[in-house]
Amino acid sequence: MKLSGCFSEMPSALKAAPVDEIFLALQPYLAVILATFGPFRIMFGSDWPVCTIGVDDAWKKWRLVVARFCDLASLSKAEQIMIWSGTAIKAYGIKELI
Amino acid sequence: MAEEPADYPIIDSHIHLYPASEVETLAWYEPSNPLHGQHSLNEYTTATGSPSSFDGFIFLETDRKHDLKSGVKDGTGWTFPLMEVDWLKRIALGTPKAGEGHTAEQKKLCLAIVPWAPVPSGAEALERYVGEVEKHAEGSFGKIRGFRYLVQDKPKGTMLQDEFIEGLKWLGKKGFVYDLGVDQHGGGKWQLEEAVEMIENAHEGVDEEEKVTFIISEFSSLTFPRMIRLKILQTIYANPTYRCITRRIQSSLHGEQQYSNSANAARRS
Repeated sequence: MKLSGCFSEMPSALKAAPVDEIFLALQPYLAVILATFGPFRIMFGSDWPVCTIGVDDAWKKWRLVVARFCDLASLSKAEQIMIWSGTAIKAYGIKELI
Repeated sequence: MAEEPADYPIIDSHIHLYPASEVETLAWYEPSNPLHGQHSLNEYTTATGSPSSFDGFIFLETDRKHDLKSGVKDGTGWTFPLMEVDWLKRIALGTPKAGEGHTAEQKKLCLAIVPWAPVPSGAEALERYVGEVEKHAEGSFGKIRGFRYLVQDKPKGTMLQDEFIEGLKWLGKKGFVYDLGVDQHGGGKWQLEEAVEMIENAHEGVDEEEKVTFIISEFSSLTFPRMIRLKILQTIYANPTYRCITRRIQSSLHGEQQYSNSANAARRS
């Protein structure tokens, strides 16, 4: 499951909101995703450039939202590594990084 | 903006790239679209700011114009998706055409490629198509780890047709993943319900190691049924259908055990 494509679904006021506010708005969904799939089957993704529509600095902002989520969900180091890259490496069988 | 996040290595598992010279081949393109113009690695690395922990990206097909019927008949309907394979070959092998916005040095950022494929055309056509992909991709073929055929904008029943399921099974047999794009929010709940049935059908009677892996794109597609307007944590938890569907997707997804291995095994030492 990719943590991506979120900005496209947001109302424009929320797109412009600070990272904390976006995180708060997404928290219910993120909680469901985490409970359903677990960190070992979640991967970070940006959906660039679709994510940039109506959002300043969209890539960096989305990275901060996901980082906030990892912090506040008290994910372990191993779990965070899986979300940021490990799950993608496994799911797509990326050989260069193993 | 807030402080820098912790410095874990990052792979961006979902991006799209296209050169200005080929925008006319994109199915959704029009000059007034906010995504008009070149979106190459120069633009992308500006957007990311190239953090030191950034390992690279996975490219997802960008919906080039295609036609299933003429593709099967004489290959003409596959022309533009194959042109995209050529484009990604130049990125992955570091052999840019002048003015296309990427360098030889940037080839290392391209970790995997997920092109379009005519999954609804069935296993035989798919095999022929992937043969064409291999010719076009040349030395970059090893980076092609899966395929996508968007179902979010297709009629009901598309993903449950025999040929579609046969196509998915063929991908699994060959070790390719399938990137699933459904849109529950825009498309309707039936898309999610059909997707669950599709996953079950594609795995039915297939040996464990040949089951196709489904990767679900854009999690918002699944979790934002009525989006922000309805503060829906309670709605989701209280909705037995939804809960049942997500659990079923979870249990249908391939490779449960392999994902529970330690994270360290997934990382280079």
